[in-house]
Formats: sequence, structure tokens, C-alpha cells
Amino acid sequence: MVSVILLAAVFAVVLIAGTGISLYNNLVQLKANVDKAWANIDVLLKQRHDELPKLIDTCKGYMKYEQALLEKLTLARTAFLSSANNDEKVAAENNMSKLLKNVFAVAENYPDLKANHGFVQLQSRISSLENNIADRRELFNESVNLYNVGIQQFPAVLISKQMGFEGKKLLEVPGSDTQDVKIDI
Amino acid sequence: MPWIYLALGTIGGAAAFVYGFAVRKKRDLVQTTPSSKIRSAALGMVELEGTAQPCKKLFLSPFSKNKAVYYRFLVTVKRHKREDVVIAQFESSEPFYLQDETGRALIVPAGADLRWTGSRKFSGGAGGNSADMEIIRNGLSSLGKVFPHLNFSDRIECEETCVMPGDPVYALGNAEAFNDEAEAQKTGTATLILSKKKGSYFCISNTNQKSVLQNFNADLFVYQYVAPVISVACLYMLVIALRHGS
Repeated sequence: MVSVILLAAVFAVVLIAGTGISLYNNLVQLKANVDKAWANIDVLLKQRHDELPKLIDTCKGYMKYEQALLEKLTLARTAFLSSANNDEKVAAENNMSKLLKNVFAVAENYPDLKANHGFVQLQSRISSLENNIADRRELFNESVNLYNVGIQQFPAVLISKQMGFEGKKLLEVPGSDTQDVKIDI
Repeated sequence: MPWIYLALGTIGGAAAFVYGFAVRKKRDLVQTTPSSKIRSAALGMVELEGTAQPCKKLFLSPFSKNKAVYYRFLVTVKRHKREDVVIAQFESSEPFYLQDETGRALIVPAGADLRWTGSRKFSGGAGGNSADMEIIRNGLSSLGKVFPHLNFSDRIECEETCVMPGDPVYALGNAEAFNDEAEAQKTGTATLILSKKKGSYFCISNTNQKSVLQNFNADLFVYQYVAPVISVACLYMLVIALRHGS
């Protein structure tokens, strides 16, 4: 009978230890997924920023009356590249998206620019990047959601705080960005 | 009950319990991996959901005569008090597309953990019906197989699973680049390819993440809770049996 009780005890101990290890590993995986999702957005943002100097140079020759807008775009790019933390990056990135929408909307008034093959290619490339960035923002938010739920669910909640797993913020679109874009012509 | 079966039950239960940790690892991977859109999926481990679409052509499943992107079947003869005999068996390894609203991914099912549901079952002979018998006969004939001789108490069973265009598909696996977006749009092909890589888990299902997780949780319950109980019970009975024997 001792062997039976011993076997049952071994199973119970292994199950509890295994569950604890699995919980911790899950939390680590969830945190790593959030970091990876953010890094994947960063990759696309950098690609977009690499396209911007070419866009600005192409537009300068045609959009003689929109120099202020193009300068704002240059400053927004500089702000992103010099941002110190993720919050500043997000704010700069939101500003950049708004300004790009303005540039493409205003470009409609310049038929010569619209006919420029280089501009059309850049517009297509940046639009494609914008769509991919939007998808990866969704993926980031889902990763954060999974992580936040993971650290708060029982029994992970018993160990998450002790292990230093803190909640993370979702990427939110500021209220001003959900309004229609005002075109300054 | 002979002590050998009790010993096997004890060891088997313990082995199933240990195997349960491998099942737990896979379940955790499904649970922790967020879903991506195909257009913007990063390379590496991804989770995708969409619908099945044919890659080169559709295949006609031999028994249910469905035009499918994937099918598999197993035909066995269940003999009374004797071992079952496998008459015909097949599993498609042809790739197909998983399509969502943003693009296509090429799925190569060979070597994947396939978690298909909704298989059709046909049975003829003892306890079966004549319509199913005809379906099995025609199916085997189309495969060039001879219909086996069945004794009075024998039953022939066929289980066939088909994935048809438009069926939901869930895939979790390692994504690699296949074509760039422009080329994929031009040729109607895929931007990503998911296939079995050594050391990496690859799962395909014709349901969704929630159903796959439920499936895993059910398996986990059996391996990690039911199996140790059976193991302990078998050991208890083995000890009793050995005591009475000695």
C-alpha cells in the first residue's frame, strides 16, 4: 500500500511542479510575444521612414505651395528617429500618418505630380506599408491583450506579480486621429 | 485479471501522464500565439485563420465524391474475435492555400499535426447498411482495390475526411517568405509558406483556435488526470493481486 500512496504522491507533486513551470513559461512567452510584436511594427515604421526622403524630394519639385506641409513631414520624421521611448515613438508615428494622408490628399491638386511614375510608386509602397502597419498594430494589441489576461487569470495571478510581470498598455489611436482629416490647400 | 495487464496499466498510465506534458506544451503554444493577418504576418511562428482554396487543382474524394483541396481515408474490415485489417489508406500531401481577406499562405500538410473534424463514416456488413456498402464498393473500385470477402459477422468501415474550398482552416506553424506581395497578386499565389520544420510545431485544423484549444484541453484532461488515476488504480490492484498470489 505504501507503494500506491507513494506513486499517487509522486504524480501529484510532478503535476503541481509541471503546472507551475508551464505557467511561468507561458508568461515569459506572452511577454516575448508583446516585445516581438512591437519590434515588428518598428521594422515597418523604419521602412516607411526610409521612403519619406524620396517622397519629399519628389513632391518638392511639384508642390511649390505646400512647403510648410513638407517641412512638417520632415520634422515628424526627425521626431520619430530621435524619440527616446515607445510613447514618444507612438505619438510621432500617429502625427506622421496624419501628415502623409494630408500630402496624398493635396497631391490630387497637382496632375503633373500624379502622373510622375516615381510618385505613384512611392504612394503605392507607402500605402501598402500603412496597411501592414495597421495590421501589426492589431497584432500588437492582441499580444498585449493575451499578456494582460494571462497575468491576471488564476492561477497565474498568484505568481505573476512576484515574478515581475506588469500589465502593458494597448496602442490606442488618439481622439483627434479618429476625426476626418482637414485638408489645408 | 492477470497481473501482467495491471503492470502494463500502471506503466502505461505513467507514460501517458509524462506524454501529457508534451501535449501541454503544444496547447500552450496555441494559447499564447496571437493571430496574424497574412499580409503583415512576420516570419517565424504564426497563427493564421482563413478559408481553404485549391493550389493547383481540386481532388475528387473516392467515397463521398467531394471536390476537395485535401482528403484522407481509412478503410478497415472489423473481424469478429480477430484483428482488424486495413484494406486501403491514404492521406493527401498536396499543398493548398489558406486565404484570408488580406492574402494567401501556402500550406504544405505533410508532417503536420492534423486535427480535422467532421469526417464522414460509412459502414457495411454486420450492423452496417447497404447504401454505405455500395459507396465503399464503388470507392474501392475507383482506387483499383478489390472488395474483400466479408464473413457474416464481419463489418467494413470507411472514414473519410475532406477539406473543401471555402472550408475554415486554422494553421499554427513556422512561416517563411514565398513570394513578395506584388508577385503574389499578379500570379494569384501566396506570400507565405507554412510547412513542417524540424523542431518546430505545425498544426492544421478545419475549425478555429477555440475548437483546437478545447480539443487539446480534453486530451490534457485524459493524459494528466485520468491516466495517473488509472495508473494508481492498476498499481493498487496489482499489489492486491500479488499479495493474494503469494
